[in-house]
Amino acid sequence: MSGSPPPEDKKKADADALAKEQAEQAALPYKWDQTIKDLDITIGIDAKYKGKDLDVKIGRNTLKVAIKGQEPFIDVCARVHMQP
Amino acid sequence: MRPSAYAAVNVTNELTSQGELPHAIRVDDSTWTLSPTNAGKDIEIHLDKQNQLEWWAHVVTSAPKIDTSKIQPENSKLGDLDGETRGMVEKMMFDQRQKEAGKPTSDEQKKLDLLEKFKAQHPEMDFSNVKME
Repeated sequence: MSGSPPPEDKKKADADALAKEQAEQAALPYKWDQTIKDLDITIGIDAKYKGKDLDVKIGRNTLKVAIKGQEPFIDVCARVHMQP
Repeated sequence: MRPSAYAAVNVTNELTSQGELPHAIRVDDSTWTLSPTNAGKDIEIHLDKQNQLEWWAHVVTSAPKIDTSKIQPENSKLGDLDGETRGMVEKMMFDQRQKEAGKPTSDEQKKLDLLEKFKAQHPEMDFSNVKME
């Protein structure tokens, strides 16, 4: 047997790849969805927080989403990161 | 030697997810809101893509990628279109269905109707050899 794998193997490989992808995405601290034009990110937080407790910065190539004083959910503000 | 300073930098680097946005966004059209949910609150961030013709494989370059070739865009609803575009799309859909059923398209139907009218107005003429293109 050579050439392309049989359809059932291909199907299984696709299903495995999809399961892996879903597990990876579920592990992220945020959920996201997109259309061809835009992209939405959702982050669930405790009801006690208000807008003023948040630190959200949106730039052309940068994004920071954090609760003030806590570890950010997303922080891609700096192009160059300090190396220890 | 300043080991304590090194330690601080290490911690910072671990806490932040490194990388950047994989593609540019339109800052002026991007917004964020905080909305209550059943479980607490949701921070919702809406980013408008600079290039509105490309799928993103991830939000942050350091995050695992998704297979963008598997994305199936939702069909846009006819109701979202403006009147003129909608009319055009509906005509195209009608013509496509007629073609598949082996029936005349709307333009062909118009020609047939005109011919029938003309025939009715000129009973003295012989139309038996007329062929429709």
